[in-house]
Amino acid sequence: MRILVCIKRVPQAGGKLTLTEDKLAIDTKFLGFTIGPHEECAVEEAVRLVEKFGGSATVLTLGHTDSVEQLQFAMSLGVADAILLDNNGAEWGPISTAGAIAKVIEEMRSNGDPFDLILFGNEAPDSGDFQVGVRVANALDLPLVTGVKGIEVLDGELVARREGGSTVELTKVTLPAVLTVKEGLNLPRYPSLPGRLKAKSKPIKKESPQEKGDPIKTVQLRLPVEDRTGGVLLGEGPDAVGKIVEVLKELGVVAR
Amino acid sequence: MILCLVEISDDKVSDASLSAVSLGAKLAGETGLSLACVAIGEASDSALKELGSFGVSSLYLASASELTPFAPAGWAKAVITARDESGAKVILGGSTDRSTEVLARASAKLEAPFMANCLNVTVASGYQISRLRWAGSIIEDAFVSDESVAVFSVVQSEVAAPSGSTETEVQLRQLSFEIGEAELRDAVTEVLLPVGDGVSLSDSRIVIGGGRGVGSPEGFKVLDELAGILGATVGVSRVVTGLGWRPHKDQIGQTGTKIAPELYIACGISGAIQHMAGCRSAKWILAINQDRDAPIMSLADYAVVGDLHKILPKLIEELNALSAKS
Ligand SMILES: Cc1cc2nc3c(=O)[nH]c(=O)nc-3n(C[C@H](O)[C@H](O)[C@H](O)COP(=O)(O)OP(=O)(O)OC[C@H]3O[C@@H](n4cnc5c(N)ncnc54)[C@H](O)[C@@H]3O)c2cc1C
Ligand SMILES: Nc1ncnc2c1ncn2[C@@H]1O[C@H](COP(=O)(O)O)[C@@H](O)[C@H]1O
Repeated sequence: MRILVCIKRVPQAGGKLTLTEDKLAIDTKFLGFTIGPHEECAVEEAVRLVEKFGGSATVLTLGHTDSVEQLQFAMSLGVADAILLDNNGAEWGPISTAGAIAKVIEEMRSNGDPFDLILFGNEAPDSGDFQVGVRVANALDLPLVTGVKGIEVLDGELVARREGGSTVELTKVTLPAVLTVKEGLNLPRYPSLPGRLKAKSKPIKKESPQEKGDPIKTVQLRLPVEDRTGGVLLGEGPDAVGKIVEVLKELGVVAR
Repeated sequence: MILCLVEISDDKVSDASLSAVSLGAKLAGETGLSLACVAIGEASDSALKELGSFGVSSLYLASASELTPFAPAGWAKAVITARDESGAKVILGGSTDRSTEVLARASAKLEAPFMANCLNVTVASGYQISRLRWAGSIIEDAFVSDESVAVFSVVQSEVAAPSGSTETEVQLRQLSFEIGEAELRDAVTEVLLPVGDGVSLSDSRIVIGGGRGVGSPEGFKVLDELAGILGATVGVSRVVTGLGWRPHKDQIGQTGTKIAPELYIACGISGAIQHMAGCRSAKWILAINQDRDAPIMSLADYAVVGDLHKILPKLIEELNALSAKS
């Protein structure tokens, strides 16, 4: 099986987000970078499918050259090689991003290197546009299942499982196909030391993509107003238990 | 014309769809355009009446049986056909998984921009929008230049629902379009009922959360015991699922389940933005953490500083004593 996984480098924010002075971006001065949990599962699934059926997995990102860090992370887990669509870190919208990704896949297909399966995260952690995978599937005219939490492959067919409110839905598609996946699909492994060392010498193909242009322009970012008054300190240690019980009574959680 | 994709089940228009319809009604009021909806399946009289109360003038309905339970490409074609017939420039929908996918597919086919998770949209020689980013940790105000069609999904809207005082007669228009391989090749083939195990996290009235501070899989015994006493469900942070201590279905947050209980008791959880993205809708939050400077301590309504493994056993003891008395 030939599998492509598309990942995006995003800031690793924890406690609180801060904005840049012009309010147009997140201040990343003190932040590390990562890929989203959905995408971690996409990488893991690609590696498992290759372990089971043979073939190879390729990882792709569009962004700044620094994204090599994320490509190498994926390769340290067992992905064979990588493609970097270097746009110099410009903020591209989903139409441009999907257009550039679809173009590469199309070119590889016509050069005799087609993918059987193309994996995306259901949504990126930062922008959360919920559409890059959908647009790529449309451009390539391939079957698509979104929000996938389980994959079974049998004889060129794939059954994708996803969870609705109180039900589980199965969708059977023929390959090649596009899937967008959600965390919970699997439990990703951690990179091993040999894996990390090997990743450094795996090939990264660099290309310069063309921007189609998205008609959306950010005016400003703002932090939502927190409606909680914030932390009434009930006390410290086991001595605070009396106070906790009082609060539980007040909130009607335990009988008075 | 403004067009809203609505999901109808059990004779009711879903709440998520109604946020889109109320934003649609606002836009219709501002622009003088009329408001239409598109749905798949059947529309009962009560659903039509509900839509009429928002001033919806027509409902385009695709009722071919192949489209149910879910044929996303076919649903997208229904949206596109309805927009071709109505000439709508604006397409809205709720932000459920299904509506989001269908809107994204339709916008890809229409070569139109799609803006997900909008709080508000205003027409202004283009569109002014505000939308959620970072799973709701950031709000973005943006401008979308005038396009021949623009597509938006709406989250629990900032726009107040109209009073429901209008009683527009909704005209039903059956959509007919060809449904072939392209519409059905990625349709749902089977629906299974999961092996239920009680109340789900998202529906629980009380949730007890455990994070890295619980320390080990065995450490969750106190949380489970407290949950038993309070009739609560136990949820966890991503660190806990990542370590394999608990399954992913228990995870609360941006990439887990979103909860909206009366009370959320967060134990040994630091309160990262991605965790808070899943519990923001809790009415009350009580945090127990040994670090008084952990972010959760100021994000919660009530905070207790200390070791959860000393506090929870004492709390269980007191609650047991209380129930023995009554
Ligand atoms: C894109 C993305 C998506 C994510 N999605 C999610 C998500 O859906 N859900 C989620 O939870 N996280 C998510 N995360 C991870 C998130 O950023 C945090 O890493 C995670 O929530 C931290 O989990 P934690 O609070 O259990 O652990 P920590 O941050 O390590 O906090 C542990 C806390 O326990 C306290 N503690 C330790 N021992 C004790 C004790 N004995 N008694 C009391 N307190 C104690 C410590 O003081 C500390 O505050 C996501 C991250 C990214 C980048
Ligand atoms: N710049 C990018 N490079 C590679 N893949 C991307 C990029 N942006 C988005 N994706 C993929 O598309 C998915 C959905 O992104 P989005 O539509 O932005 O929410 C992500 O989870 C990634 O798998």
